[in-house]
Amino acid sequence: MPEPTVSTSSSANDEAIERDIRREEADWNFINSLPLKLKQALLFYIEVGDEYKAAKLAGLSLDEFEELRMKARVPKVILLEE
Amino acid sequence: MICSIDTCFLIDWSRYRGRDVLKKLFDYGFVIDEVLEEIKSESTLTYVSSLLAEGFLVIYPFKREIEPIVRKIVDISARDPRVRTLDPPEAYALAIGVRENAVVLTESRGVMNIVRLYPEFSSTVWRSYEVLRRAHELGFISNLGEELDEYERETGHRFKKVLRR
Amino acid sequence: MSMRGRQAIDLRKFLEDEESMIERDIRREEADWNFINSLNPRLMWAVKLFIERGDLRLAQHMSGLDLEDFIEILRSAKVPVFITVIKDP
Repeated sequence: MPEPTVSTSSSANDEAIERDIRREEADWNFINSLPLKLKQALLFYIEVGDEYKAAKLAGLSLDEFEELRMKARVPKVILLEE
Repeated sequence: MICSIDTCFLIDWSRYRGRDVLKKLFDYGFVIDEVLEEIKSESTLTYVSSLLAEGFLVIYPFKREIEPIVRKIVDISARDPRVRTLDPPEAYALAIGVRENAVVLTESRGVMNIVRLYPEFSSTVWRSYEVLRRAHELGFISNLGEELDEYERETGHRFKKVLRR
Repeated sequence: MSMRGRQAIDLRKFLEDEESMIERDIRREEADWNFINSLNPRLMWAVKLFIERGDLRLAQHMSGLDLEDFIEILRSAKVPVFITVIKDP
């Protein structure tokens, strides 16, 4: 299970940093093996970071989506204020 | 101006290359989660994902409050043979349109017939045709006839002109 | 004449507007009937129901498929899924 990734940043590009981290750490082999709907939802989450909308897109509950996210090794990125 | 969108409209519209004109006509669009659950083809999924990511599509947060309206709509759809079957995505799209004064985007004849036959559900309903016509009126599309032809080719939708009697 | 025991018939179901008839004619003309008749019975009747009635949700439920899957079947059967009759002017 991937640990939450913690980065410190005061940059206005927080969203871009979060997205890059999600992209880098994701298990792309696993993601590409998924059915289209689940894959698309994970791609959405990786790009946008909104698990609520991603879960709706996948047709899953939040808990179920969380499980999927963890299986795909996509971290929840939390940026801390310095 | 805001809109309320059902599944059928999204499925059809997502195949149209000029689909981004929607964002020029409306500030944002409401959908319910059932609409997101229903879509599964690549073109619809990628299109809806991009609209969600841009914040254009908003998941309607007050579903419970409009349930009484939805119940009446579904009841009418079941009782009145002039109204075609409505599933939750269409019924909620209309209810949101009524409640929020939003333009309802749908291809459902059931929705159009309810609005036509029952004044209490008075709402502006647009199909892809009305969206394209409005885009033409505002100058976002130069030639409506050609654009309709293009829309037909790309989506398989049919536009049939008949003389008004 | 007493109406006791008789059921009222909702004659509205027999009314069909011009648009519905035009749409049905288009669906009938464009359909690939060889393909449709080769489908399994449930799907075949769902597609025929859609061609005749134009009620997408009703036909979809009859097919047992999800909406987009049913729409794909209709497209494979060359049945226009969405038709807009434009009254001019």
